Amino acid sequence: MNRTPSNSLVALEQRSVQLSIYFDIIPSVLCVGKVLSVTKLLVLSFIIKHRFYSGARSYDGHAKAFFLRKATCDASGSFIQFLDETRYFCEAMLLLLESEIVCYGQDGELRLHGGEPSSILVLGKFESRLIKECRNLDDSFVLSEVLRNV
Amino acid sequence: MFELRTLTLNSFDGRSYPYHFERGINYIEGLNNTGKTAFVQFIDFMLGHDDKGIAERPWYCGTLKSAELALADDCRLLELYRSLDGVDYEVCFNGVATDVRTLADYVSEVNSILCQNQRSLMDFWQYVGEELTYRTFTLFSFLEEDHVGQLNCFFGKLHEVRYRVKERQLFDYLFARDVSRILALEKDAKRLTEEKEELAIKAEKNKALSKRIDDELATLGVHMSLEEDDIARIEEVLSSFDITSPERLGGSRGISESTFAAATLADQIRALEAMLSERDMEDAENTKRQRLLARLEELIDEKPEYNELVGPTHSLLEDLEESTSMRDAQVQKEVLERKKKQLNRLRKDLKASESVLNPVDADERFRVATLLSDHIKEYKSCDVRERFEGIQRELTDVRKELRKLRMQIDETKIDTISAAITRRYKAACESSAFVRDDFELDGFGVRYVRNGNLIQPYFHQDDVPINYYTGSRARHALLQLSGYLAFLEMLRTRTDCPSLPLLVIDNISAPFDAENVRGIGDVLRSFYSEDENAEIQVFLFENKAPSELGVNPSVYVKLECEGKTGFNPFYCSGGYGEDE
Repeated sequence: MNRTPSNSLVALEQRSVQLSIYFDIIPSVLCVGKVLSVTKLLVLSFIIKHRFYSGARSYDGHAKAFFLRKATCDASGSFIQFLDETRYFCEAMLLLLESEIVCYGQDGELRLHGGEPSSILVLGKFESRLIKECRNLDDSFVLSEVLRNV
Repeated sequence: MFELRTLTLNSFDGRSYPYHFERGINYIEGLNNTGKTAFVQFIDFMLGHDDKGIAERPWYCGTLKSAELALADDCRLLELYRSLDGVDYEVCFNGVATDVRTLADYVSEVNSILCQNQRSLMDFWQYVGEELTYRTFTLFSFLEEDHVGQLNCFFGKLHEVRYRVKERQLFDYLFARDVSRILALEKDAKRLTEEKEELAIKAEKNKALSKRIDDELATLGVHMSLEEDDIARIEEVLSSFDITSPERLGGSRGISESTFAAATLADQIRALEAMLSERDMEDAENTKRQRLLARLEELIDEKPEYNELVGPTHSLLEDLEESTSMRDAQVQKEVLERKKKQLNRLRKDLKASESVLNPVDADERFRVATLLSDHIKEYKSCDVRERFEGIQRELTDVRKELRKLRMQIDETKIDTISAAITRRYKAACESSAFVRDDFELDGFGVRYVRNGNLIQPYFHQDDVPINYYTGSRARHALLQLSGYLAFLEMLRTRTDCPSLPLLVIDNISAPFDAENVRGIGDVLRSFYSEDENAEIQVFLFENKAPSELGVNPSVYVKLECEGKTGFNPFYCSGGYGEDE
């Protein structure tokens, strides 16, 4: 007899997939960015996840500047998705903190606990440059760019 | 209050070995590599610590099968049984065994027995937002050797992530100024939220209804709307209408005048719409900011530990609102809102005017009038706008007060803890030269600092307290011991916290020289000189004799003695290397 999965099962499956993705992406971002604020980590994780999984990549590693603006424009129209995924980001962060993969540094910023984790998502040139650019930007500027462009 | 009475170790070949404990100081002496640290960790294991690899440790593997821990007070006996492989558990209370299959059940069962007041526990859970058990309170009961001498974040276990993530809410609760008020507000907020959700459904239904009423009014040519006019006023106007007479419905305006007015209105609408579309971009940005703020608040409300994580982002978003550009946008938004209302009004007027220009026939008007009358009745029966707005305002006020109260620390409690730490530390003056030196400083004292769980010595200079920084690890260890004891005293008096009245300390004497080490005995003597503390058990694991520390223990155990080489009596070869 064919049985279709119940809604709660689908929701659980969806949640575990989303958590796994964030569980991979956050350490990868911190691996490049070394020490990042929660705000930057939230924005970067979402944008990079969006680039990886939605296929929305208008720019590649050849881009020269304004990486954040280009990346947020790429994710344009996904604000509701961004709102929804803050939950998965928070859940993944708690798991990462509890499993001591990520820890708080000075000034409440986040960094990897110990060295590079064994399994890590390999980021492209664009993503690496985007993270490095964000490291030098103000948190409020990063947030404004998301509000304006996503 | 429960106290540890017996720890019985069971071997694979059916032998048993008991360790007996009593009230007061239980002194366990052992040379290096005899399993003192293993013993400390084993007590924690029996109290429910999730130590998955314990069965594989060389000093247990193949020799130690399980253990039993008996806790008792004057009239109750709690027996805990746990096998090292994590398969068998048993909790037996006053001779009645409970079916326990997992570690979570084991902890939960012990917690319900240790809890002195079920109602206070529920309040505590409600305050912290999760079901914290006595396990969390073991952070006040264990000082491991690695953390001896730390004054910053002085509770050793707080260095473990599993405890650190709970630190904020637990210490907020312990030092909250007005817990009962906060709990009452929490209940209010919950009730108001539920009520608001119910009303929101009704309000949504009414919103659809009001749109239909406005349309019907416009069809009849009545220049009124629910947004602008009172429902009673609308009813009054309608009651004087003659439905069959189209001339009266259109008011006093003539047809050409109405045509002109309609054209003017259309122009105004176009102009307003153009204005609106220009503002749309900024509007959208602000809406997004508010939605993100609301989302973060929702997450924090759901799980308070997210506050530490996304709190800075939340504050940042709030600051964005305060920035100049946003304030400007706020003013513009207000103007825009007014213009939108004006636009709405104009559109309705236009529709009403159109119905005058192209009047519907009498039958249709009669039908619309009948429907309108029904809709107005239905609208009146469930008009919740005012109540909804009232609840919304009340909820905002409750949340504001809650946030404010949660930020407040009860300074009296901090002062009591600080005074207790100073008192204990001062007791070591008898034997310790550095403590005597400290108290010779003008106005010397010790203060507990809530942020960072810091023990801060200070002295006074020209009546101004100056923080006193010293590098001596032995001094830090004595201050830390005083800190632990002060917290145990505080927890002893609180029936709302499911804590165990015990303190297990591993090798605290390590940083001391032969003279100053007696300060430990002085501090403990001063602690036990107060009758109320008699029930609290202190377990000292040392490689020195008790007399060297100036301690007079109730129970003295030597780990290496006839027939055994260390903590595990069934383990004969090798040592306890990994942990020592």
